[in-house]
Amino acid sequence: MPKLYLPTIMRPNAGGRATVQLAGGTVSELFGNLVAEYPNVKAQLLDAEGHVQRHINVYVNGEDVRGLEGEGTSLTERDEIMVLPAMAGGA
Amino acid sequence: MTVQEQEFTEFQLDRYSRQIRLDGFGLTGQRRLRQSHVAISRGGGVGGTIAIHLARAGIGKLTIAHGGTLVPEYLNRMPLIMNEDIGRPCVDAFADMLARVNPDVEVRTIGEYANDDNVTRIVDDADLIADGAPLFEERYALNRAAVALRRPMVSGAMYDTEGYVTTIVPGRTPCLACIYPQKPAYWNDVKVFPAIGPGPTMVGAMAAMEAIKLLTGFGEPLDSRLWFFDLRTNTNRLLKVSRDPSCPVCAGI
Repeated sequence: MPKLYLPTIMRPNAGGRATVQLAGGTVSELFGNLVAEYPNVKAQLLDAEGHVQRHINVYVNGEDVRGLEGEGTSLTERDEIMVLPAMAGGA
Repeated sequence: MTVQEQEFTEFQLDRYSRQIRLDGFGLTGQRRLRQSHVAISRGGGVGGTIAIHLARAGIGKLTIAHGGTLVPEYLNRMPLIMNEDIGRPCVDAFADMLARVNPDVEVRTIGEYANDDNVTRIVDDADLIADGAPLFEERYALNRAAVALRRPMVSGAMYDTEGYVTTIVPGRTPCLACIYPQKPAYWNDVKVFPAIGPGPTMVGAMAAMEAIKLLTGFGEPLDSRLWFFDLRTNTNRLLKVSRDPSCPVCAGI
């Protein structure tokens, strides 16, 4: 199953897990399965229309999905998906 | 002594000797560093680390913009301050520390946080901008200035034990607005992010190295790459980032 890396800010809502393996033929399907298993992640990840919030980037095998097929990007069993929100920690 | 070596004192040649030995750096790289000016937004965990590494490496001039006074909760991660600096204006303590680290570096301080009104004054004639601000408003203002002035910018940010760094070369790489066009709604305070020293230190060190690479021509800068790490899980990735053809900040260049 594809492997999903979750950012620190979402882990408390995913049982404390940094990585989860979930079924999903596309990024959208994967996220659907994610929020089905961890409902409290939904508000952090998705907007009111069910799309990934604009401050969050999604990478499949290191490539930003905005340069691929977006949330419709196909996934294979060995793919790694990273969810990475914008950060500004500095001072 | 060669002609190039004569540009440096014997003490300077000694203090920089280990880096001068780096293949591809040499005296040429050292001279380029000394001729360079870097403007840094905030001198905290990230920006302060950038400053201290550039100072030790022999940068010619630093500008650090940072308002306010020092409070105890800064001590766990800011490399430019000590206990006795609490209560002092931040930039005064930063300048004093940098003078001790390397008195050859010219340090200009501005006791303000970056915004659209002062950012051109902060950047001034800097060859490169380094961004270590804890608020997106400041980061986006710096990004707009970098693009408008066509100056390269190294941007480093962190949250908890995660962090990322990228190098922005306006017109060639994505700018910050391409990569993250919108800030998180929850990021409305400088205290939003947890932090422990090694996190911002990692970001700052990587950002300093990016600055050195861009200024000297040494090594390979992060060209359209976001270097990400998570110290908690021993994760690190080199992520590909791309320009947004409809970016409201840089699409026109």
